[in-house]
Amino acid sequence: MNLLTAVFICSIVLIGFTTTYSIQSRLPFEERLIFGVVLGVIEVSILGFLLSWAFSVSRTTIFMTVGILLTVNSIFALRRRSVLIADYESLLIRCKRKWNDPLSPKVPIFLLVSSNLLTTRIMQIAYDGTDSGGVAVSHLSVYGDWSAHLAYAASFAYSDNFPPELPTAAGESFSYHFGIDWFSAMFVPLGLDIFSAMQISTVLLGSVLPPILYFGYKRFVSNNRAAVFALLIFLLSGGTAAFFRFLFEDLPKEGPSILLNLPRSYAFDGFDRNWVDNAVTGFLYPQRPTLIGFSALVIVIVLLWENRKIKISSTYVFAGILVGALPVFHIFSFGALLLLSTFWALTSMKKYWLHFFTPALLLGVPVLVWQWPDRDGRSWHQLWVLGKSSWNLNVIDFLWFWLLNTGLVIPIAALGIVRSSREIKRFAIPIFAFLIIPNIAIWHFWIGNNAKYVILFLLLSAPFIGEQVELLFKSGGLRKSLSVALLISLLFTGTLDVWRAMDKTTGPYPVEYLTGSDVLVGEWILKNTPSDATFASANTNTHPVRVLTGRSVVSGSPGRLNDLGINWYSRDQDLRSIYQLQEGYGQLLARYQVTHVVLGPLEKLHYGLPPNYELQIGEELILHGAQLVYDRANYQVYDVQDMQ
Amino acid sequence: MITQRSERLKTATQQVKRVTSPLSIIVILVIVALTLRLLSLGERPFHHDESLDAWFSLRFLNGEYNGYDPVYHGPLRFYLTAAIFWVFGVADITARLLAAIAGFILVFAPLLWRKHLGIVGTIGAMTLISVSPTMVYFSRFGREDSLFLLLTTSFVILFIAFLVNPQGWHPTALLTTIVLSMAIKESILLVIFLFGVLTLFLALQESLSRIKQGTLERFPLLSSLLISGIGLLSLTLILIWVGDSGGNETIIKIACYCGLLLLVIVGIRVFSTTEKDHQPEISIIKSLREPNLKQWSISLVIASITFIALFSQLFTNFSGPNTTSAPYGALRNGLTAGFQYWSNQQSTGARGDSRWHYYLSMLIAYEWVILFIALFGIWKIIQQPTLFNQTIMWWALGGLIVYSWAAERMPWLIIHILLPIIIIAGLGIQHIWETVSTQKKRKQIACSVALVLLIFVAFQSIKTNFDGPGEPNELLVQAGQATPEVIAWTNQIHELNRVFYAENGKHLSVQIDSDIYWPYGWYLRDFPTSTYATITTGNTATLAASPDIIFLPQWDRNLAQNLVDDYAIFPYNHRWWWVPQYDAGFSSIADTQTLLINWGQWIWNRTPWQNIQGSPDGCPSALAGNVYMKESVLSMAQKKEVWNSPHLTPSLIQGGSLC
Repeated sequence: MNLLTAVFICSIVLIGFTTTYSIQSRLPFEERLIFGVVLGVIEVSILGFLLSWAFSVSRTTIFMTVGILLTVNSIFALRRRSVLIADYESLLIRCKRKWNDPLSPKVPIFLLVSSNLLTTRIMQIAYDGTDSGGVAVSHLSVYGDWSAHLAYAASFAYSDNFPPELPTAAGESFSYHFGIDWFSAMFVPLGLDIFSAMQISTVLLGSVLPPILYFGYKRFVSNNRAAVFALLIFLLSGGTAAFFRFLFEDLPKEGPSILLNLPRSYAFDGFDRNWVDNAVTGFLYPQRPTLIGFSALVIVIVLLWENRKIKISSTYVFAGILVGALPVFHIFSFGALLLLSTFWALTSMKKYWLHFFTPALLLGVPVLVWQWPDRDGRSWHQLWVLGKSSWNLNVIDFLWFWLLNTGLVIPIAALGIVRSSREIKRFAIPIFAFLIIPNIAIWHFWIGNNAKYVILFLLLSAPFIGEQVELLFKSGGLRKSLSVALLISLLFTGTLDVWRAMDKTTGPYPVEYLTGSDVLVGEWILKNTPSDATFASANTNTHPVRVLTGRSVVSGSPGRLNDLGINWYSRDQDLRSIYQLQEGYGQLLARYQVTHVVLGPLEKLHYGLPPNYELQIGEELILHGAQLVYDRANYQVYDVQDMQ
Repeated sequence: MITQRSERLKTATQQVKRVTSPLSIIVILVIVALTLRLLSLGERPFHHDESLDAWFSLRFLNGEYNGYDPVYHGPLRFYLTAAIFWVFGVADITARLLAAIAGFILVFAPLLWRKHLGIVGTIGAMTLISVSPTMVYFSRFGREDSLFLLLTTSFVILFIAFLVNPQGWHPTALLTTIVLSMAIKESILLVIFLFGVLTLFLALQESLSRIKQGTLERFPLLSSLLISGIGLLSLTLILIWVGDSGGNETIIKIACYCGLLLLVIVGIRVFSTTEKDHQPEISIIKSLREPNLKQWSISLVIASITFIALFSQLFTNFSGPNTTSAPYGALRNGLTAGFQYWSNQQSTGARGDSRWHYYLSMLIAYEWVILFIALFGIWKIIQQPTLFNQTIMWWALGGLIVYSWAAERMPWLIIHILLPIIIIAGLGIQHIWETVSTQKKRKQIACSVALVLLIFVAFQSIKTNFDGPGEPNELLVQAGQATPEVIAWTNQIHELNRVFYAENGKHLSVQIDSDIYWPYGWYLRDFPTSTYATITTGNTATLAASPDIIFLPQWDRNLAQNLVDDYAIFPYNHRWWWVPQYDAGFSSIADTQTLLINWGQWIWNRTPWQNIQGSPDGCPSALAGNVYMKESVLSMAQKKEVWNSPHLTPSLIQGGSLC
């Protein structure tokens, strides 16, 4: 991390922190500071995006963004400086209180420090160098989902992707909540490479999630310990699979040393029996929009909860604006908050909810419409995966599925909500919608995406589970032992998976992600081709053109394109035609406005090209006016702009 | 109207008070200290010792560390740095992070002594620790000294607390701190000696104060000078007597000295009559009796377990590295090898700078402002010789004497003397504040002077630490400091290898002679093939294998004569340093002007001086050599546009001399 990056991060925190003084909400200093990280990221990302669109992605536009926001927000802070000073003095006084005091800031500080250390560890091993000068990765999340995220971030950082188009499908609109990747891209002009930019943005937002969850959960539970239980229940979720797979299969086979080299994920088995992955390893890191989405969701709930009695309209407006901005960052949180708030508004039928809904819908719906995929990905079904995969459609499998995937989360959450106060009950009831939705419909092309609703249920129901565990715990005696057993049942699988994520050499990892030749060709393309160039390249999971340069390509990985509603099959066939020089390949190049064709090891492997094929394709392309502009270390790049 | 104005005035005054409140100043200091310690932390090329520390830490992380060897000092910082590597990754910055963290925590040490220092003195001392050029430099230096100083300071804090208000847990904390210090550096022997003798003098003071009708209080000058005068003088004399004998002779002489002191203490106790109601300020015996037997036993058990854990690589390896300096098992090495090594070093003569006044000269060069303020503190200590004041005085001046006596005189040891001097300066600041705060005008003048001095110190600190850090015109730079060319060549080798591998499917063969291998051992840690070579007159097999790149020191250039035809040769500077004559060869009063101009120019813009007479001329110089690169490799590098001309690194263009 260089000086500019450090200054940028500090500015983000300051921007977000001072933003909290634009509303009259009674948040303590530490909450304003931690919430400020997420709010600052959202503000900087949105304004930075608009300015970069107007000018370009550069250090100057980032300085302008930060400067404008700091100036504007400092006015809020200055106007309410007496509150700010009082908050600060209150923090100093409360610092002396004991850990279990509800007003003590010690627990969130501890959570922030520990989550920062763990996140840093997981992120710093994400990428590594290889002997050949390439790049190795250490987790599935980085190997898999991050390939697409790298392409998105790189498209902004290096390829001036404005107005945004999907870089992995030339010519398509960016039907994805790319906010977090754009935010990562903002670090590149400050001197970081794209890998470090991804890592550092994840560390920043991943570190603040636990304290934010703690602040949110604390409002629905009786004491600090229950809030910490709730937090652990969410972050270390993962069902009960490890009890069998680890204790009865892996541990007896390998002995205790297996803990230093866990062979597999326990919460997730590749969509066979286990579909609901751990919140951290399956959702927070690989699916990067959740880094902002989960936190923003909790912040909005806290704001609405704090405002439920005083009903200050500016707070509703602020929360509404925040929700309205979410489709850019995490569309699921946007939908979840709209669903929840609609229920709350309908049950109260008060006009002040208009202050919330007006900005939320005015800002959010246009973005939603813009992101809406061309292809309809909805379908209806019953009981989610039951009757599919290796699950049967019967009562036993129904119970077994939920026990294996979520443990006792659902019954304890229901019990907790039933036993809570009327006010909390009203607040909590709509969260069951997130259990109902995945069981009746696919809204997002693929059945696996329905796990995202379950994880939202877990996120929102965790305080009620934590409270029930705490009630048992403080009863003492046998009940205390029961609560400990319950906690182990809820946390064991997730703990193993999170522990595994911190291990650099577990399972097949680290694996080579890019070879030295890949990196060289990526660097050359970055330096020597225009930022609006479009490439024909293999649509494998990783490819240097996509992940290192963010240049537009005919097709990225088919699975990820399918998720976004893109017709991946026709693009795949077109690429095949181009590389096999089938008749009409020239028209295909023209249709996708391809400027460069890459021929490297991945293309040869993926399209089954024969040995010495480079001579054949070279002759053909050059014959028609293409130029060989790069020929090094198993890679050729042809400039096909002047082809006839 | 008048009420409104007075309200506004009141509010404004309150706001000013908030901004200048101690807490706000401490928050600002936190930011300043963190910035000065973390900013561009990895930028300066690694010193030889830093690279070894980082490399050993990495070995521990990879399970390849062989155990404690006093040549490389204690293992604790390898464990801690390995933990930092595990969390934050292996990098130049993280290799220095432990030192930076320890240096940052040290800033807060005066807070624990705020009752003794006073609030202004505390903030003053904290400010000086935050910005002092030397404190900052060695908080950014990846050796163990910053961490060791933190533990020494913790020891002193506990030592004073134990004597003033003994608690049951104090022995555990004290003994554990000593064990932790043992696991960092052998200098703990000096600390134990220093504070052991102080304990004897405190006991002597206590005994003298019991003499009926002759209490120490009746002779205030004797009271104030017993420790800070007589004690320090005796310490100096005894160390002159001990000399650089080393081994058993040193032990016998020091034992005689301590025995004599003990004899005097016991004698006075036995033959003096005590006033019945006499209550001395402190009582060593009373303090020792305060913890009960159980608490003493627990403290011994905990200290022993800590010792075993630290020296057995956390209970995993009880055999030592089996080297000449650590020939025994892990635990015995921990107990004895350190002392033996130190003792041998002591008897083999000076390492580092050979001049006895080295530390004094360095302190005057870099920290004269602090020394000047500390004079006020010493005045206060003489006036009020409390236990705290005397202990700090002993720590500072005793440390100066002991470290000046010890054979090894290195720049990084200055901080062990400087920190207590800063605490004394804190006492001085409080003293000045109490004197001037009664008069507004005096207060304003004092504040203005303080501000000017602070700006000067901060300017010096920034110059030393950020304006060409590690360049040899800084006296803090020691002979092991690598030049920027080392980093330039490292980057060149990595980049070249990437292209070379992609083109040829094999890695570059790089061979670096063992004489100039460090810090490449650290920088090229990820290089896929071995780069270590021992090239001597009798061993030229490495050269015969014609590696792609070869690094040779200047004294081995003749071995590479056969390489001339196939290789491009680049002149190379590996390390650099400056060992000036502090008096610049001053011999007569006529040289005064030159001397002052030399020092003035150095303080102002770090221009090194040439000695007025004598040889060597005193200019910074470098360990030079050659880099030999195969013509074919060079031509490929140029063709593929990856040749960055590392031999033309800007800071070395001036050539071998900076004068």
